[in-house]
Amino acid sequence: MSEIIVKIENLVKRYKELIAVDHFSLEIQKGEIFGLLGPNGSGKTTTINCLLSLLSYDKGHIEIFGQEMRPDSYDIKNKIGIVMQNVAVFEELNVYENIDYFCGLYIRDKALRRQYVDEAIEFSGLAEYIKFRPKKLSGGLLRRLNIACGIAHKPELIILDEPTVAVDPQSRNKILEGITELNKNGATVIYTSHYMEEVERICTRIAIMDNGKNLALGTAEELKSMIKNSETIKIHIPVLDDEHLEAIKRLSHVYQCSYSDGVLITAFDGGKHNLIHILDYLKNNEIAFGQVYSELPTLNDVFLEITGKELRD
Amino acid sequence: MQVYRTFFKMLMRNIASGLLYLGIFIIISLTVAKNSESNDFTTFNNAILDISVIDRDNSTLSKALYDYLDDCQNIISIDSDEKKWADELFYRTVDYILVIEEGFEEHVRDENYDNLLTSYSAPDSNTSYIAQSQTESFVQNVCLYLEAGYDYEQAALKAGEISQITADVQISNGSGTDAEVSSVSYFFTFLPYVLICMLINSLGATLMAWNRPEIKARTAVSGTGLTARNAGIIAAMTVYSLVIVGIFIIVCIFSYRKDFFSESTIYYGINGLCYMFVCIAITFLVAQLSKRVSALSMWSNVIGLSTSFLCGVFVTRQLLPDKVVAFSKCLPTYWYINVTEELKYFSGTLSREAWISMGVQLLFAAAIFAVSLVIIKNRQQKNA
Ligand SMILES: Nc1ncnc2c1ncn2[C@@H]1O[C@H](COP(=O)(O)OP(=O)(O)OP(=O)(O)O)[C@@H](O)[C@H]1O
Ligand SMILES: [Mg+2]
Repeated sequence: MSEIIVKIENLVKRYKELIAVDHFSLEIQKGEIFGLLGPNGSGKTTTINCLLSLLSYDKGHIEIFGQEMRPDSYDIKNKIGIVMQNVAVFEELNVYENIDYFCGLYIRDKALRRQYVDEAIEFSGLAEYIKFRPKKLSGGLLRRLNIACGIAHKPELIILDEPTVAVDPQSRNKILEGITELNKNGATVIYTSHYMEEVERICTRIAIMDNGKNLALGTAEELKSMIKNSETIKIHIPVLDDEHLEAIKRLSHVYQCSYSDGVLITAFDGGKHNLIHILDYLKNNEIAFGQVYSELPTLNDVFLEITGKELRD
Repeated sequence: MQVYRTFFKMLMRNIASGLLYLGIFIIISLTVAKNSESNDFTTFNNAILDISVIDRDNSTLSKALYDYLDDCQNIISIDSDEKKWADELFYRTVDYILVIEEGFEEHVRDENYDNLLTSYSAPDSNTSYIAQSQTESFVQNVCLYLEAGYDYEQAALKAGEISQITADVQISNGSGTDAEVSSVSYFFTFLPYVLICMLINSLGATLMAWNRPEIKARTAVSGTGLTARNAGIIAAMTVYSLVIVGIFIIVCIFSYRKDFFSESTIYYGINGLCYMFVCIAITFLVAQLSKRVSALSMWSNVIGLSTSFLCGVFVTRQLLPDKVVAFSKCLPTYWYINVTEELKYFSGTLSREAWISMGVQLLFAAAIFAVSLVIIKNRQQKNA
């Protein structure tokens, strides 16, 4: 059943000395929302641009819909919708005309195009703004226009490059809901972002990227299970002796433990009832404590453990 | 089609800035045409002399000479009393008096007529030589035809025709005594400046919107191929330019009504179209080179003014230093003006040189276009 829509093999892209994409490989199946997660400058946009043959690359092989992707593969391009990181709309045209123009690059039939444009306006919630020039739109609305221009022609494969950068949480929610809806209607989606919450929320599978390399690949659960950390517990403790700290470190499944500024942070690599064990120890030794948090691992932890640095700067 | 439609729509939104130039242009060309119209007329009148011819021979030939001079100059009758002629000449009632003595026709055949043609000029007259030389050339031509075996009547007729032609040639050499220059020519002489300004400002702005990297990239990944996109843009640019030239023509018709409907206007139009393609190509290049839309008006002024001055749009070429004229051959505007200069004295057929000049303009357009494409290619490679 799993049809491969996108196949990237050993992609290498250099900008002079800099290796922007480094032996990157990937397969994306039909119906997925595939997340490409990586910090700024990790090579997400470069990968997408190579995928679309906008950039030439030094090495590698790219197939889309089972065909080799080349700059003149217009039959493939016809089935792709692209939402670029840099908003690409005409300042000289209003919202409606912009969507109509980009849709018209794919859909020649006038009546069908009108229907599609109307649907895209409805979908992106821009109905009130169709006569507005892009300059008059807020950042969030502009991003939505950018998305509407990319998806109006109902493509089979939709590529969104950081569509939510500089967008307020409300607009962001709408955008994410929209993407899920497009996917439900049958589109395969590639979604790049450096916001792990977004990727975790909507993506069926995720690749973690840094320095142009594909570091890890899988569902959010799979990625988290790949790392040692299963749970992090933070407890506010006004006073804690070194003797007790050492004892806590010796509790089962604890692999990391630190105490500073009145907060004890303990990381566990699996095991059950970790919170109960640690709280029991504190009570038995009559150590006073305040607020307690238990955190399940995030993709940030995954990233931290693989690269040794935080995903967010 | 989609590219064409949208590009054209955007062009029409930018047309306002173009029309501004049109307004300025109309005012300039109308004023210039008005002024020069009246000037030309007076110089033309001045060149006609008041002369007298006393015909004592009363032969076929003497009558033919009289008629010929009557065509060229203004003949007035004076008293046949020779004593009064000095006064007539002194007070400039006439500039020149020619006496054809009896026996003139007889002696022309053996070219012994010097004593039989007596002429008197007004003192210090610097125009009477015109009548004198017209007389001489007519008689010389008659002699040639007589020698060739024509009879007096035919020889006189032929000599009249030939002299007429030489008179025309002298006029078109532009020696101040001008035939009336059609006012349409002023309109088309200034066209290069306005056309380049209009196109760079309006067409250039739209092209630059299309050239923005993100729009370019976005369009490149669409299902419409490169060729179709370029064809759309080129078609829109051409149609838009035709609209602009069309507006010009309409304005021209309204301004010059009767002058407009002549054969030379068609050639002016063809020449204008050739130059239109040059302007499109220049605009295309400028849109590649210019970083900001606001820089366009600077570009248009630099290019428009410099080529116009160097190539004889604003100042006639005769007044420019030879070195400037030689240099201006490297500019397409030179070749445009070549044709308009010829059309000023249009005599029914266009010379080979004029057609070549139009061809050269088209070659310029193609060359400039090619340079732009090379620049685009180089940039793409740099980015990749
Ligand atoms: N045209 C270019 N010339 C030289 N280096 C470039 C060029 N474009 C990108 N780079 C470099 O390539 C690397 C990858 O850039 P890329 O834009 O792909 O990252 P990204 O993951 O999309 O980042 P972001 O989250 O900021 O969009 C960066 O170090 C960047 O500086
Ligand atoms: Mg990017």
